[in-house]
Amino acid sequence: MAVDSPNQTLSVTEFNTRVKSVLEGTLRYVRVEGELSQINQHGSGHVYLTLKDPNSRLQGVVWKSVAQRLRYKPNIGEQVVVYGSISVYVPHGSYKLVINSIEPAGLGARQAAFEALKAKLLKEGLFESENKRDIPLLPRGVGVITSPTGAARRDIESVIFRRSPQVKIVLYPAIVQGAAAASDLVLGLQMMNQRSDIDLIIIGRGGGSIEDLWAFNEERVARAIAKSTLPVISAVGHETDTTISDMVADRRAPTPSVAGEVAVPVRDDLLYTISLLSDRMNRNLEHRLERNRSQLENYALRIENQIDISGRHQRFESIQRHLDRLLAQHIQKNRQRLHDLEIRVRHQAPHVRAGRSREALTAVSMRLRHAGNLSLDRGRSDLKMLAARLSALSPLSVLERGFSVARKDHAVIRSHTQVEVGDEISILLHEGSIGAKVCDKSQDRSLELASQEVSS
Amino acid sequence: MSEENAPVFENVLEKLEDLVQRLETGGLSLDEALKLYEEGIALTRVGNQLLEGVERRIIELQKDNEQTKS
Repeated sequence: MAVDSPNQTLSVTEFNTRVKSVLEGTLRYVRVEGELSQINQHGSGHVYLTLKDPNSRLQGVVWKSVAQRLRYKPNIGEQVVVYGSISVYVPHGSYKLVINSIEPAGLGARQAAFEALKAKLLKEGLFESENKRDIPLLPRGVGVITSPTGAARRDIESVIFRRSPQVKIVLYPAIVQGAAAASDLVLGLQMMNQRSDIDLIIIGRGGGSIEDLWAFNEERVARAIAKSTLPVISAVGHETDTTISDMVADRRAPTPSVAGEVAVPVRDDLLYTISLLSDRMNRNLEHRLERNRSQLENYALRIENQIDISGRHQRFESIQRHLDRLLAQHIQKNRQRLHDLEIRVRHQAPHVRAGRSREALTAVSMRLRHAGNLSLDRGRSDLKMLAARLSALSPLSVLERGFSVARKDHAVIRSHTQVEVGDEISILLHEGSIGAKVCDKSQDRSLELASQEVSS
Repeated sequence: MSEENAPVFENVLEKLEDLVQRLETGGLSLDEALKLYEEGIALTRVGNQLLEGVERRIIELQKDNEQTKS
């Protein structure tokens, strides 16, 4: 609109009033997209905000009546699309956009992009469970890709330290939102995969708007996760947020804390498992050795017994042989003597000539006496032996060994039936004798054992 | 690239479990049992070693990239 005339001079008010009518006449009901850089909730209920893009900024206002009706509550940093008309404030010569509605920028477009990428990767099989790597039971180190200043980092670290303090953490301080985020996350994944001290990667961030989490919905990031040699746990936002990264990752954790739990076991549990196994092993071997030991002892005992018995047997047999030999010799000797005597007696027989000389008689009698002496000597020693054998059989020698003879009216008592309770009996001992009274009788033979020993 | 240098805990635990079961099933000669036992002791030691250490180790990576914009 041209100035009326070059000579005409306008007052400030007049100028601003003209600006107002020009702008408000043309910039009505427009849509403007920009990042919210400032929001002032005024006491009156009106909301003043600033929209910006890299090169310019724009003031806007949401009147109280409109602010109360807004479904979407915008936050600083968010990309939004506002709808409204310009309003020029003449006293200040300033203008504002009077906003009637606000919605997140690119909402529709992003939703569409999300669905398209999801469908594409699904078709490629990137979400298939058979393409997922196993999470190791106990990683030596865990790579964490997240913001160095976020709560997610603190949560992950504290959970890992609590459960498995021996596990090393390698942090990649990542940019997790904004334009640079996607390529930074990809770089982080690449760097982690070059390390040999970690067995697992956690990638994620805390909660935020869809825009904040958007990097985790980008194809580059999804492909980098799929390509990772190390297994990846994705933990983006809250439980309700699901990103493409979550779907591609080998495991999705609803929150960063849970990611820490999935990543490492409780060390004490594993130590306990090991000690249980080693106990079982020890117990098993101890039992086995104990079994073998007692088996050996058993064998040893049996062998010993074997030796002992055969030893006794041999001794017993040799004694028996010796006795047999003695007996045989004795019999032989006596038989011989008998034979000699018989011959001699025959020589003395009446049919032998009576007229033998006296010398002959004396010689014979001498011989006879000599023979008698000889046989007497022999007989003496024989007698000794026989006496010894006899004495072994004598009841008196039995008494010497502690046996005694019980008699009633001089008759030997052999059975309990021979006496009545109250009878007076006498007992003959090795030395002396005693009178006794029967106070009890029974059929039991308590001497059975002893008699068995004697007979064997 | 990290698998071959260090024993993986799962394998240690798996082997140990298998070995204990074989010991418990029996039917082994004393020689075999002792050999398994020795192996088991060694595995126990390795397992415990993997769980050792309590220091909080955090390595923060340095990006040698130029683009560090937030």
